[in-house]
Amino acid sequence: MLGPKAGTVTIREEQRGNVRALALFWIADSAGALRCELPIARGTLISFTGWTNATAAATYNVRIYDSTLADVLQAQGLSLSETAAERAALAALAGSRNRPIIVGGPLWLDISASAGRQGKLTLNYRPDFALRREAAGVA
Amino acid sequence: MIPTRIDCGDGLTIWRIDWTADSAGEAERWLRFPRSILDRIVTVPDAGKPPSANYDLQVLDAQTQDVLGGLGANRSASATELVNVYAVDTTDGDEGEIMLGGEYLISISAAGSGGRGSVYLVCLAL
Repeated sequence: MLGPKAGTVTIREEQRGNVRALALFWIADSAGALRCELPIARGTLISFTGWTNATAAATYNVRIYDSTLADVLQAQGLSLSETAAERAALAALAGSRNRPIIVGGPLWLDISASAGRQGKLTLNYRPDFALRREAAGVA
Repeated sequence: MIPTRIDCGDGLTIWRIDWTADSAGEAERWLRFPRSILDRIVTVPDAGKPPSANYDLQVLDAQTQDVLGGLGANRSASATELVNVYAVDTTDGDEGEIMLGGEYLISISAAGSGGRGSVYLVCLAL
């Protein structure tokens, strides 16, 4: 469950063809928390990259909540290394198949890391549902 | 049951249904859906008056068939749960989409008398 806003974040968005890259430069608070609203109205999550300034081995968690109060990343942002660059292609496993993750706003980002940790999270998404409709065979 | 429709735009709709079980531990409500894909369900038990463990959610069509194919069974009484739902062809086991259109009965059972919670249905219009 999401708590109140925490930490500080600077957000920059770039358009790369059909894909938008949301770059979040974040600093966790003294409790290791970063919580903020994401400026994504709707779309299909594609992938993310994560990096932090840590030098000692540790892990951190990234969750994104929507109106359903569930983590739409479906645990794909958990136990990320603070010392290695992380990259993950995002998908929703349904039965034996993967399909695109569709989301509608408002969305909240929740990072739990070491106290005062700084990092960058880039979230790549398409601001439409074409991929999901294609996966369903109804595009 | 009290439904709330959250329109996210571009055909994405999140239905939120807050429910309270009757003395038999059941709650139900008919809802009309436009032609759409049911992408996922989320169940959220109430913290103050939680349902019984392993309560069941069904989405029943006019033939009283659960379009979830049992994927809403045995929900947690304490944790929010997300399920990416899909249909299974009983003749060959092939997996596909759950398509909605028309009226469906949202049914909660085995939730204990007075148990409460919320159900979210994430739908993408065709």
